[in-house]
Amino acid sequence: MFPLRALPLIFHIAHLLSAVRYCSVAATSSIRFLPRLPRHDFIWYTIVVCEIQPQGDYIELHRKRYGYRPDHFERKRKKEARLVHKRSETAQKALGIKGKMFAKKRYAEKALMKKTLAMHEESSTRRKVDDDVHEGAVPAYLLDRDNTTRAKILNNTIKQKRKEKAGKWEVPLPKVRPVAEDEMFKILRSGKRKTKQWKRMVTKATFVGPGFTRKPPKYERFIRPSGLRFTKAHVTHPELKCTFNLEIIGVKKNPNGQMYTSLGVLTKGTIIEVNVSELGLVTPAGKVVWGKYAQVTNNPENDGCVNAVLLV
Amino acid sequence: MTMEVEPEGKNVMCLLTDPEGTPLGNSVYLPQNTGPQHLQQIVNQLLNNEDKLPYAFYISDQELLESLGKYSEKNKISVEKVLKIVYQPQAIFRIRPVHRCSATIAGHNEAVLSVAFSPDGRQLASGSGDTTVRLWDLGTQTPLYTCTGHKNWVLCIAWSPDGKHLVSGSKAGELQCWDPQTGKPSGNPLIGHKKWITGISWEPVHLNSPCRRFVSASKDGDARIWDVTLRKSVICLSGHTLAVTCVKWGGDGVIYTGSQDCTIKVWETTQGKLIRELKGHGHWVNSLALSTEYVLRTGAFDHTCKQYSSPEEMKKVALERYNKMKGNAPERLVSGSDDFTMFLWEPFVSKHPKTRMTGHQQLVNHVYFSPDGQWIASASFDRSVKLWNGTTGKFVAAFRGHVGPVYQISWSADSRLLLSGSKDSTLKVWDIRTRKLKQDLPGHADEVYAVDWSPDGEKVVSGGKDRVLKLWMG
Repeated sequence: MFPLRALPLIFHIAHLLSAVRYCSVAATSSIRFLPRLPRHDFIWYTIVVCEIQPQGDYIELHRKRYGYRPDHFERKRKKEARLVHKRSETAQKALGIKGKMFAKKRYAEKALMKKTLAMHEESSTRRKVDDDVHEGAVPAYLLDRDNTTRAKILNNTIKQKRKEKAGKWEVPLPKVRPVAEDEMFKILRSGKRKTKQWKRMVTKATFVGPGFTRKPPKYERFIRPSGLRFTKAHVTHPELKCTFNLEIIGVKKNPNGQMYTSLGVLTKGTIIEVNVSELGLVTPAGKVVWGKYAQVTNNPENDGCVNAVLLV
Repeated sequence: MTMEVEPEGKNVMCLLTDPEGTPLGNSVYLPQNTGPQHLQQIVNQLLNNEDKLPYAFYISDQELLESLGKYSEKNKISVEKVLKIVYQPQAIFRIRPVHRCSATIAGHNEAVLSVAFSPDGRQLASGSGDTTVRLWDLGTQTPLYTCTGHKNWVLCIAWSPDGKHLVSGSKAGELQCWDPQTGKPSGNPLIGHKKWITGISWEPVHLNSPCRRFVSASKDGDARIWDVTLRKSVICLSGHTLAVTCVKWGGDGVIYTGSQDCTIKVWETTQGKLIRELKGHGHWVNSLALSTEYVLRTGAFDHTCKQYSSPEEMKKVALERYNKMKGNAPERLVSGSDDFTMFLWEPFVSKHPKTRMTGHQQLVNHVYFSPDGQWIASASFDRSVKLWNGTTGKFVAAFRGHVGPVYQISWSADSRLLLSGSKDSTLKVWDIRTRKLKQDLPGHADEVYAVDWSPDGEKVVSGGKDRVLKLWMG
């Protein structure tokens, strides 16, 4: 009865009919009484109604018999030319969920368009063989392997040792804001009448070594809250331009003072020692480098993580 | 003196056999205080050797270092049974281990990807990522010639076994033949491969002298036989479905190719027919080695630095050396693979492997037979070098010490020392006898990509990512 290509159309119509039935019900009663039909379904059906195709092929038949209207192509061209404006109008006007849906659809369309354009581009211009000489030559046995972690020899161990002795460092953050004592510590009152004021709580992030044992709480002068303790840092290698999550070994120097260094306080500009063994760095003598220094670049107590840059 | 102390009559029944298991004479009663030196005399006498040759003795794959009496005491050997002693001929010369870096020569301005000594050990060439091949003066340890002509990284270089030609292959897929005397290219580049070259191997000099043909393997899945006088590709060996990673021209006139399609193919060289396919590996085949490889590489040249005037003479001497090396056993082939194992094959006997050598925990990047064919060494990305028995394929020892993947290995000409270069920027020399680290050679500032021990044993060369070439000496 129906030609084959009309089958999806029939399906649509069946949906439509049900929608219309609902609509008619909705028109008579209020939507509140229709919990079965959520609101976005309703919208979908209205869209279908808008996109409704001509029923039957009487237009084709007419065209076969009498040809196109004389201004058909002109109108078509104009309509197409207007389409961009019309679309942009919709895009500007559509609000809320409609706007979102429209944007999403348009985005998908554009992505597809770009993809096809690129495909055509590639097939039209003959693809050139990649025969430029690249940097970083590797032997034939490594050419097919993707070596993601590139070991880089850091031949500055001697420099590092010398600097360690002199106590002077050229660091990425040469100047840091001094942190006052009352910002660093919070005074805790103790004693039965809360009159004693010798306990201090560190308000900054700290590193506490794995071997740390607390003093008896009664005699504990400095409290390092466990919520602000860190054992790992996100360390960026400035030459490899990649970041690793490495274990902290210790705090080498806190620029605010020796006391903060010994307490393991991590503020911005603190030099920490991190475990780089998984980076595969090697000394010139062929030993694996274990610990290297890094400088903290953020305020860990504000960010909830420690970011650092490796000193190389 | 010990003879007097020990009671008479406590003799050990011994049977001396060669590595293949052929007995030498009948089993004999030997006194308990017989040591390796006495055994050496006995073997020399039984074999009617004119000059006394050194031998090493093995009892059930363990080297005999003390007297037989002490050995049987230690290992509780029954006196009733016949003790089987295997004698292994040793090199009559001894190569000194390298101790120091004698020169660091800068010149390349990109990573050095391959280095090779000429078969007579008098010339040295290197290929680099800066698209040049360089020849070096070993006397003054300075750059000699810079050969430009390649379009991309020079991935492999190979000397012809008569030392008259040098061939290099690049990442762009072209091959270039150079004259090592002048450093000039001989003719235009040889074009045919569509992708980069992965390996080059020359036809052995005892089959054809002067050297004309060589075979090259490429990423595009083909191997091609080239003729340097005709300056063209003679035969194209196609059949592999993936990249060919390694190619070797065997001493019996066949070509072995290992490929990423997990197979090893054996080709005949007159028409390029496939004669055998060796299957077994579960992943890429990375490296192949022949038991006769070292003698094929050096051709007629040996440790005496003798020069030959005519190609015919060279061919004769090379054939002699080859036959002596090979003995009457068929050629053995070992293949290292990405499936962490190696196979030992005898391609002329069977298409099934002789043994599978397991033990590595990472892919095997390089395998190499010792010059006397007695050992196999394998370099792996699991940071170890392993030593295997060259005839049976049994595991012998693991050399641990590198902290990065081991890329390349090289044997000294007397098979007593092994050199390995690694990603951890060091070279290490291993002693085969004691199975220990002999020498640690730090000095490179970055990964070591290529190592080579000169056939005369004097020098070691290494090149790597730090762009310098280092020469090491004893």
